[in-house]
Formats: sequence, C-alpha cells, structure tokens
Amino acid sequence: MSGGAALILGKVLLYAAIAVIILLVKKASPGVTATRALSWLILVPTTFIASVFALQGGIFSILVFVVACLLWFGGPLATFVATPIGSPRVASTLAVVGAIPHHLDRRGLGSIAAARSCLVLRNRRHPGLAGALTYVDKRIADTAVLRPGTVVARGFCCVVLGDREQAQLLFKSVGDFAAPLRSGPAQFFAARWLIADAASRGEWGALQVLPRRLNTALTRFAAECATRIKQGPAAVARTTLVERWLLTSSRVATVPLLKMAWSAPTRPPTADASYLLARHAAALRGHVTSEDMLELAMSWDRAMAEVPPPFRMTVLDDLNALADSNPDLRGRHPYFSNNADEVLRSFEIAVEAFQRRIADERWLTPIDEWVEIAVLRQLYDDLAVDASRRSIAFDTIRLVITNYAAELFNRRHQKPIANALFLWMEREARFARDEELLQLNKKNVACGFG
Amino acid sequence: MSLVSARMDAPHIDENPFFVLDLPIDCGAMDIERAGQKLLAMLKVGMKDAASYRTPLGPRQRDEDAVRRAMAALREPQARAMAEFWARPEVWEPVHETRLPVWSDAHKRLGTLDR
Repeated sequence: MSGGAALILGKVLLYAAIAVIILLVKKASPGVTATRALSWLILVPTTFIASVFALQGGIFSILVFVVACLLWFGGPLATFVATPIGSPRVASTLAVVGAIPHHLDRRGLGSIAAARSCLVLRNRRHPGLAGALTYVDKRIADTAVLRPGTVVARGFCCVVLGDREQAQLLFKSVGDFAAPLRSGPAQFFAARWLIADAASRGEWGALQVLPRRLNTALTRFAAECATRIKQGPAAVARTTLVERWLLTSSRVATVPLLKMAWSAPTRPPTADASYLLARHAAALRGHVTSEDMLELAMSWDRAMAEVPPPFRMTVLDDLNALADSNPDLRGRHPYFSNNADEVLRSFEIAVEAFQRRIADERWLTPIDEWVEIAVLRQLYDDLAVDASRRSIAFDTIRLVITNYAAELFNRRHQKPIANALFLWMEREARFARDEELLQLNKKNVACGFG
Repeated sequence: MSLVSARMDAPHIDENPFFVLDLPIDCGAMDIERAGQKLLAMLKVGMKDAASYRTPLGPRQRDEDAVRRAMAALREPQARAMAEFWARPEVWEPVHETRLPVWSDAHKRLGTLDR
C-alpha cells in the first residue's frame, strides 16, 4: 500500500472512530448533542497533552493548558471565585467561557453570574452596585434570543432591588420553557432560590405547589418535605422523603430540610371540625398568612357537605370578606368569589392591552416580552381555579397567545419563548378538548426551539 | 411573612348573644334573663362597665338594643345553635402558637447569596 493510500485509510479510520465515539456518547447521554460530544472529544485529549507538556515548562503548552482549564472550569470558577468576590464582569466572562464546551446558553449564564455578583455587592453595601446593575441590565436587554438563563438573571436583579414578587414570578416562569432548554444551571439557581425563599419564611404551602410550575428533583423533594411539615408524618412516609432526597443533586445542602421533615410533629387532621373552626377564628383575627387562608378555604371545601346551611353562609361570607380586603387571595379559590369578577375583568383588560400592543407592533425587548407573558400567565392561573373559570380564561386567550407565539417564532426569532407558549396552549387545549387548537399547537411544539 | 389583615365586620362574632350578655354557651334560660335584666339596668343608669363587651375580635359597644336582641336570639333554638357554634371557647384558642417551623438559614445553605 502506498503512503498516500495509507494516509487516506488512516483518516477514514480516524473519522469512523470519532463518529463511533460520538454515537456512543450520544447513546449513553441522550441529552448530549453531536457538537457537544465532538467538542469534548477534542478538548479532553488537548487538555491532557497540554498538561503533560506544561509540566515540562513549554510556554505554549502552559497557555493551552490555562485556556483548557478555563474552558473546563469556567463555570465553577465563576460561581465559587469571581461571584463571591463581587466582580460581575469577571464572573460573567468566566461563565461564558465555561459554557462553551458544554454548549450551554452562554449569554444567559454570563448574565446569571453577573447578577449574582450584584447580590454580593448589595450584601456588602458596595458603592459599585449601581454601576454593576447597569452593566447586567444592559447585558440582559441586549440578549438577542431569550433563554431561561437571562430570565433567571433578571430574577436575581429583582432580588437585588428588593422586588421579591417579580423575582418569584420570573424564577417560576423558568419552568414554562421546554425541558431541554431549562435544564442545567438556570433551573438549578431558580429552584434553589425559590425553595430558600419559601422555606425561610415558613411558606410551606407555596413549596407544596412549586413542582406544578418548576418541576425538578429538588422542587419535588422540597414539596414532599413541605407536605410532611404542614400535615404531619401521616402525609408523607419517611421512605418517600429519603427516596426523593437521594434523587436531588443538592443532598448535603438540603440535610436540614430533610431533618425538619423527618421529625415533623403530628398535626391535628385538617378536616377536624374544631380545628377548622379554630383556624377560621384565627383568620378572622388576622393571625394567618395568605397561604393559610387558601388552605382554610380548601379545608372548608372538603368539610362543607357536613356543615349545616346557615353556618355555611356565615363561613362563605367571612371568606369572601377576607378575600375582599386581601389582593393576594384574589381568585385563588372559588370561596373567595366576591372578587372573581374583578379578577376576570383585570385579566380581560390585561389581554386587551396586550393584544393592542401586538397589533400596533410595539415590541419590547425579549426579556420585557417575557415579563409581560409571565404576568399574564399569573393572572390566568389566578383566574383558572376551577374548570369553568379555566375554560373562560382559555377562551379569552387561546387565539391571542397562539398567534402571538407564531409571530415570535416566524418573525421575531424568539423560538424558545414561542415554544414555551405553544407548550402552554397545547396543555390548555387538551384540557378544554379543543381538538383543532391542540393539533395546531402540537405541530408548533414539534417545530422546536433552536 | 405577610399576615392576612383582620376583618373588622363579622356580625356572627361582633353581635354574638353570648358575647353581648357575657355568658358561657351552656347557660340556662334563667341565666339569660338574669344577665340581660342586669345589663339593661346597668345601661339605664349609665354604668361604664356595661357600656362595652369583649369579643375575640376586640371590644364592642353595648347598648340596650343589643342586649334585647341577644336575649331574644337565645330564646330561639336555631339562632342559639348558631351563636353557640361561634362562641365555643376552643374555637378561639390561638392556633398560631403551633406555628410551623421555618428553615431560617435556607438561603445560606442553598448558596443563593440572598439573605
């Protein structure tokens, strides 16, 4: 065999070997893309060879080794070194570099690292906070295609500015993106903040329902813990707790939560009449949170069949009156029904304004579009507390959102946002048995997000 | 943690005959008459002690009309049952004392950098 033929054969064999390795990597980890597998294939031997030569003191090898280390460890360096120092630009750069070999959302991860650095600056009351926030804001506003990372970064900016409600709204909205898009650091940071925020305030009811919006191993574990803490040991078995805990990636950090749930004391059954009345009385005296109120309404709902009609009326009157004076409770349960019309009206006004803006082509930056969608979705969820109201809400929004999402997909190139909206409409169309819209949104979802 | 603001107007509590007459829920017809007449007499001579009564939602003003309405209500079995429902002492035992625990260092443990 001539030298030329051997070279060609060698090249073919090399390409075949690379292809086989990529296929094996893809088969072992279904989420890994071919380009990601290829970049690992190049980076691993390069790092190894560079490290061997770097030990011998070659300048070029040392440079290659440093670059390879930055590529490998950019993310951890950003999280554990640059962010605690409070350096948004360095943290952001490291996170971007570290995201390259993993084919993650570079822009989003950079923004998260920078926003978390701002949190450090806020904690230290550092005079450079305003400048750092301006930098992060600009970074977020300049994002061409919005992905979950940028949403989380905006969430952290809201935390820095003390706007917890907006932060909660944004962190929860991460769960609306398609699963492959939201998995990874963005979801990790969002879930951790939401759990810490609710658990540190004792808002266990909020944790119980968190997986409905942001469904991760960690949020599912936190939800089980919250249920056991709220309702007592009978509600969740210890084996279930341990099972869920083992599945999380934050086992060490969540040991205290596991311990709290593990030793949760027995609580009176929520349907017990005198306990229910005692909680009702506490609500009348203003000794409860919105979450407690919601749970009280649900407990009354379960017990109502056995409540004599005259008492029923006073109970409902009380719940309505309490809901009237507390905007947090609006539309969250049919028993808070006095303001249900108001919730529907607010929703219709918001949808009308939204529709008008889109018709006038007054487009916002991608992140502001997302914030508006998140607010609309919150109003939708507030309204859709039972089947009939969910249908009303869906009828109001079905075409508006589907057309808007199609516009985002086709003309605005915001495929991840559009895909999230198609997923939402697909689920709601399935619930409403709207076959035509279901098929349309299924097709739209299948168009992907990349 | 934000608390739900208390409702100021709850007639079944504010005007509960047992609270108005300052009687326990197991009182008999004679007790009701005696307490009602005594309060009416005190109100007539303008005694300060009779001018207000305690409810779990705070003190309320008492007048002769309220006393008469309360006495009449307790003579009606259905109205009395309703009043008993809301005047039972165990209903008003504070449930907030068994407050659920909080995970105070959650932010630190989960490394959110928030506090």
